[in-house]
Amino acid sequence: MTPNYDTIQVGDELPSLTKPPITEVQLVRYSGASGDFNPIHTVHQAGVEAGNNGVIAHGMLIMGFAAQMITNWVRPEQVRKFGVRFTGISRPGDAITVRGKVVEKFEADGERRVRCEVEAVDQTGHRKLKGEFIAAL
Amino acid sequence: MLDHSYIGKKLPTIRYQVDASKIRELALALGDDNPIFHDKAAAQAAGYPDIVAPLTFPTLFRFWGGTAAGAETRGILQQMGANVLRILHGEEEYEYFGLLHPGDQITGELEILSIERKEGSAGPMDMVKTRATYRKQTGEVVVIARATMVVRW
Repeated sequence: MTPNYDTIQVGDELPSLTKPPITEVQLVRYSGASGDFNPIHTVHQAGVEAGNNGVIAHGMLIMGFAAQMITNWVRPEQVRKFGVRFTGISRPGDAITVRGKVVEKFEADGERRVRCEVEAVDQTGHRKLKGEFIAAL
Repeated sequence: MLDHSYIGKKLPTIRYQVDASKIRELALALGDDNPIFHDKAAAQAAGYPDIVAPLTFPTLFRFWGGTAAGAETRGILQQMGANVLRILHGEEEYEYFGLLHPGDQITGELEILSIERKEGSAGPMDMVKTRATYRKQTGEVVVIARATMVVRW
């Protein structure tokens, strides 16, 4: 059931999403799926040479987790814009939680829309990305 | 120092054909089990003609479509003088104008919009803003991707 513009309130929290811990195999799969073969995500030595002490997750993997939270809440065709700033690196073993809340209700282009903040944090509360999306309700 | 002549320069066209198996593969890699990304019958039951691409699917245009065309952002930054191991993805934003389904043939035009030098605690960084405009075979713009890449020295 999709959210209703009339009943939703600024400040309402969206249903959060907690992902299983990231695995090295997941980074290999994500590299193949996305086509991003930067070795810092899959080859330990490249991660060391890049100064990361090992492999790190693709930022776009974490943005994909945030997208999953969004499309668990609204249908993809309702999303007008979705943007993030990457604020921290993620590593295998990190369990990411994506949270969001409604920050604005407004009308534009003849549609009733909400602006929502999103953030992704790991199991220690360290933030990986922060952003927002706009959805038509 | 990055080669600033790339700002506004015409770059090769990105080409990508959306395919059901790549949509599923991305959803599987993300661990996103929403059936509209996996199963045509479930997508049709939800009112779609076919499965739908997840919101971050346009990243495949950049990598799978861009690399083959010589228009992948990181490759371009490398041509501009960056060390590929020193590039970070700072920001990504998608503006959506329609859905992506299997069979869509995408063309994309990547532009380097600006380069801004910043002095960070670990030395200088160049903030490179890019915009990729993706069209379907009908000519309609389906998504615009804006990114900030951070080149460290």
